[in-house]
Amino acid sequence: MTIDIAGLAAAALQQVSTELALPEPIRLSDETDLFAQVDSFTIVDLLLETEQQLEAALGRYVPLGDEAVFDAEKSPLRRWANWVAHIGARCHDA
Amino acid sequence: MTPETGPAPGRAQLRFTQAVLRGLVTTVGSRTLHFAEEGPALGLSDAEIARLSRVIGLRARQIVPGSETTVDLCAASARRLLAGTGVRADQVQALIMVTQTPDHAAPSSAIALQHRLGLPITSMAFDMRLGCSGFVYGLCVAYSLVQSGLDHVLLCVGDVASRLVDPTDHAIAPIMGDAGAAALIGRGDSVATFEMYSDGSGGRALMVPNSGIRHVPDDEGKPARMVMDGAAVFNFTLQRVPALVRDALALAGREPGDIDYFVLHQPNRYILQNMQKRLGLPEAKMPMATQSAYGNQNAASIPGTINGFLADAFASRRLTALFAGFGIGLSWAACVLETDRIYCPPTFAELDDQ
Repeated sequence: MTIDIAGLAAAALQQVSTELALPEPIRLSDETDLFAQVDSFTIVDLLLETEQQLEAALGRYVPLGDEAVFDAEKSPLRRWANWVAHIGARCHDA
Repeated sequence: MTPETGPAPGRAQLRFTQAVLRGLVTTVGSRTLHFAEEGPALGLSDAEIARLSRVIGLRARQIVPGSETTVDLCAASARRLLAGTGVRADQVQALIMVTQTPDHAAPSSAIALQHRLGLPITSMAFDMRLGCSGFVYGLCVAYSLVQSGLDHVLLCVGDVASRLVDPTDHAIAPIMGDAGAAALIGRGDSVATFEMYSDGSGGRALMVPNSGIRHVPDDEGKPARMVMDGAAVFNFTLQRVPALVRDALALAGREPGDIDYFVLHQPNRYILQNMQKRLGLPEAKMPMATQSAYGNQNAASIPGTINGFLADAFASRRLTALFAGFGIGLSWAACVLETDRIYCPPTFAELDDQ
């Protein structure tokens, strides 16, 4: 089964942004540094929302949280394209 | 590690054959705080309250209503435990107290508790300053004492964490619950294995500044309240704990299917769910609701989970369990042990009459 990972990731971010009523919308591009724009609770919320949407789409759980997610240098959330690639890799590994 | 070779070089791996857990009692603070009601007072919006409820699992917590201390909670648990197991105070030969919220910097709270419980002066009593890894660390020391010849050892663990944090800090205040638990360790033929870790390089991820003798310029002016770098603690947990569980199983020569319950420290729902899925553990074997009902119980979270959600199981049948604690220090530890119909009543939500 193939899914639009980039679309799903953006939808999850949109859902979290809406729930939090963020004052400024996050403008997404491949270079967007999400790690610098939101707090750690929002990141955990994004992980949870993305995992739930993945599970709904794939019918299986794909864990996205790991020790790199909150690493200031290594986090895939430092660059949106890297985050989408991270999700894709996790889907492949799971 | 094998019985013939001992621990692997440089590893704190321990194996016991003559100590068993005989009983567990947990007493929590009697005041219930509901997060939905607390949130506005902490300056949180409805959206933030909903988010934290969903992500962290915050629902309610139990705290002490007044000036009660960890020693008070542990004393109540210990008295109930001794009465329930039929062990007299004068039979207890050692008391270990694991807490970050002692009555005083000195003397140790364990010795104060020794006096309150009426333990003989021929007993030994000492504190261990640990948090969320503290129950497993303390249990290891208690098992060591019994393996070395003692008959009855009391392990008391807990914190009045609500009094250790800034009540206006919305990142940490609504998480903390107050609890004091007591465990009785005695002699018996049973195999238990322990695996212990420590990493002081992560000490500032979770700490209480200006609370001791050392003066740190970076901490100038900071109140002596617990502060947490959430991202660093999250990283630490996901990096260390899955490997801890796998290593503990390997040390014990067990497969996940051999374990009846995985009782982990309860920091927040996301972390526990993430680990449960990554380790491939059935949800029924890994309770995850303690923090939602009682708050983060620190060193008491493992007994708190057992008394809170698994009391009937531990009281009614023989079980093989894995306990894993992780947190401040940084420190992390796990054990695999067997229990056989231990004294294990449901959690008490008030002090006893004494």
